[in-house]
Amino acid sequence: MYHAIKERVTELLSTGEVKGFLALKKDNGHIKPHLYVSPDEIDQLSIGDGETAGDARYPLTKILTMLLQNHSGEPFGILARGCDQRALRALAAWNQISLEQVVVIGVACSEELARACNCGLPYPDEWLEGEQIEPKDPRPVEWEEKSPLQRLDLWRAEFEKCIKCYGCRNICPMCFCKECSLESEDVVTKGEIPPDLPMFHLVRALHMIGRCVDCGLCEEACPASIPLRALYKKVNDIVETRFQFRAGIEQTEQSPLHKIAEPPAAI
Amino acid sequence: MDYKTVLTTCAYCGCGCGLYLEVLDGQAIGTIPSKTNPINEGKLCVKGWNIHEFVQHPKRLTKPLIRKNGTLTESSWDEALDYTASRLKEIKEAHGSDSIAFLASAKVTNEENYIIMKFARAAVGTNNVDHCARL
Amino acid sequence: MTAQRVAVLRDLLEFVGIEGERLNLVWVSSAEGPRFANKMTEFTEKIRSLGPLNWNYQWAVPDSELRAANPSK
Repeated sequence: MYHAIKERVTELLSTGEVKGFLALKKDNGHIKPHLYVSPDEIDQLSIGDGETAGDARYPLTKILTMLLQNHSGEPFGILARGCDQRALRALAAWNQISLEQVVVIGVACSEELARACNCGLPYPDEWLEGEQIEPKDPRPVEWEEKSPLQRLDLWRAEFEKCIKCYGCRNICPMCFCKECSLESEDVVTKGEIPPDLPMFHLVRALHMIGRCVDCGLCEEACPASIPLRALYKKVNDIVETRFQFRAGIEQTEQSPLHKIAEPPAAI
Repeated sequence: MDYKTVLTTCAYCGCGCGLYLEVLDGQAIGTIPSKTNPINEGKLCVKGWNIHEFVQHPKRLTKPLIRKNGTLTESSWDEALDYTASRLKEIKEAHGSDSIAFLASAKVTNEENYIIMKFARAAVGTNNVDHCARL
Repeated sequence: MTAQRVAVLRDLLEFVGIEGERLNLVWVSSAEGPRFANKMTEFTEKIRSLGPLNWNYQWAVPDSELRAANPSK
């Protein structure tokens, strides 16, 4: 399986074009994130399809950011879906990585995964595996139909389930702050479960402005199954409606809410 | 530069969530939950997310310690084992087996907890064996 | 930039079900005492008219209070 990808990775590693290639590997009955440094291990390469399509997706871009920052100057390769490509572009716009040091091998998401995941663009610019599936409307519509009071009750019930594991923040490829405000006592009181409702979640949602690329890893990492994607998708929609900006779409575009600039004509 | 992801089980509670330790040049620097593990399905609690921190923590004990003149001082394994064995025998003779109690740990394996139970009941002869999770 | 972020936050609060009018942004200098007082009074009246937040969360009662309410032994 995945012959085209395996061939290309073997080529990249044997010619030394990349120091290592970040992808997934079938290991001990599981699928794990793995840095390939030699073509010998390439047989076990996986693109993250376990029992169902895409059920073993990992934040490869987060690992890549860490590797690039620890080994500046060395090129690395990475297996990237549509969301990973957006993450790479957004990370470059935030000056966390340099795209010249990254060689991308693209994977387009299958129809099953594209519908289940429901992101804005389930395919990268080029891909060696997969098919182009056009996305359906990724807006969180079901929430719009409820009254504000219903929404308040529903969101409160969801936030109440939070066990403050920081999983959403730990797994997010766009969370790279050295000092996270969610760990600051001024924002979230220490030792409370659930954490300061609704502060914790609204602060995180606000910090996702200009960062969230809608990869969906946060919701998958939440042990309480809080519908985080709906919240962050809404933030993305607000930013797109007001400022015509979406993270990771344009290569070099910086978030307009994070630049000291002239105020916009109308808010 | 050597980056590995090592499959392991969380050492904290009895759930046994599957996770990958991120090891960079021999140092455990991060944790990633295992998506394909049927127990946690890619999710972890706050303790599990920080399991990499204690693995090579500088505060971990590397030598046995014996209290001499009120302060804990480093010693060798031989000295520590001899001291423990002789003192346990003395106390057992002087005050009976039930004057000794054993506290097992949630961070060791089931097999190791079995050994301490057997030691308490068969070797020392007391039922006073309990586990830190019950406290 | 602050104004932009407050605008986004107001929309987000509406989405979660909290009235956006509960959030206000005003630029006041320390030399504008009377203006500050006016703005504060206006806003306080607005909040009063909106009424309490319908946040039906059962705040956990600290143990000490529970014990004081239910003395036993």
